[in-house]
Amino acid sequence: MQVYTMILEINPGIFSLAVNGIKELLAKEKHPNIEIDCTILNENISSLESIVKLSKDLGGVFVDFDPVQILGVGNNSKYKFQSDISGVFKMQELAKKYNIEITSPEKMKLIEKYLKNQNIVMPCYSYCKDMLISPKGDVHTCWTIGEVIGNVLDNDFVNLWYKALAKNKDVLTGNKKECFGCGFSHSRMPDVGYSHIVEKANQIRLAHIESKSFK
Amino acid sequence: MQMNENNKLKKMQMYLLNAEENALPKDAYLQVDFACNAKCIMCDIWKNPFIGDTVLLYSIIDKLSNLNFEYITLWGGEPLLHPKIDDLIVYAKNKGLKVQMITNGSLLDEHIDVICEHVNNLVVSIDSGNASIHDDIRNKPRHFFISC
Repeated sequence: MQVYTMILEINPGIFSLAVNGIKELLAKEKHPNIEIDCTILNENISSLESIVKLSKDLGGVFVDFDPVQILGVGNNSKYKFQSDISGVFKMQELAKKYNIEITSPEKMKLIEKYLKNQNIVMPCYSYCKDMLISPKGDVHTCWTIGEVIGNVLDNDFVNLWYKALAKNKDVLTGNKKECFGCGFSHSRMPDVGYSHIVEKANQIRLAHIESKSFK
Repeated sequence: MQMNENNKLKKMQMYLLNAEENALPKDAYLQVDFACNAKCIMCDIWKNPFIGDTVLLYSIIDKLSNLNFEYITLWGGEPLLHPKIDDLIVYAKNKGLKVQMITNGSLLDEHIDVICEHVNNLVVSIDSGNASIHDDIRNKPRHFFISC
């Protein structure tokens, strides 16, 4: 007697839903620019090449890699990254072979440094580039420090923002101690060739802070 | 907002100009909710499934427009879980903001038209090309029914 085993997928899984959704968007004549954001974790570091292959299957969607961020807003502070990072290099080699655009080599170097638990001291552009706002309007200093500056709907919010910048001016030079272990690469690690722009802009900001406009 | 190389250069030039003018940032990351249909192992946001008040979110978008912001990123939690997300996207776009969204991608099929029409940049978080690894990271494994 033959026995038939039937395996039915009741819940298609979040991966299938996401990939099918991207394919549906790409099939439309007008669609947004689409990119994949991949967080590097213990659980996926040995198989990062699979993301490059997925990008290839999707026609070469840009993949932005960022390391797991432990500190700051919304992150699991109990997560410990402790893996061999050779998977990062294999992934980069495959992306090069397939000509898939991924995070720049300069940024990947900083990500590797972060994953090895080495301090990163460099001018940050998070505070003056982005404003991180909660559903209630509360504005955080940045993703890592997480201090609430005030509410964006407050009448004096603009003044609060400038005062908080003056208070946290060390972020502009990268010398704020809380920043050393920050891995929020999107805002902290400029892509290739842009570091000098961040450095120059931050020096201009510092000059403003030292001027009467902030006193 | 990440975007590709041309936009990155533009963003960096804007960053420098902003510093020269001592102006506020131009790039807002607005969490429309904390709710999420995934429970990612590296994230804590889903533990407080708060949905932002729609009227308040409209007010925030108004304020950002008045403060001359150019970009808004709608994220969460999972932004596509917000019951008025389509309206929020259209509202932000009509205010002249360039709209980016960060999503886990699981609900894209329910919002295809509004996304195609009004979203400039869509960031889909996918942490592996291997379905099982990805779904395990999302802490939302697939369920199977097995019968013999």
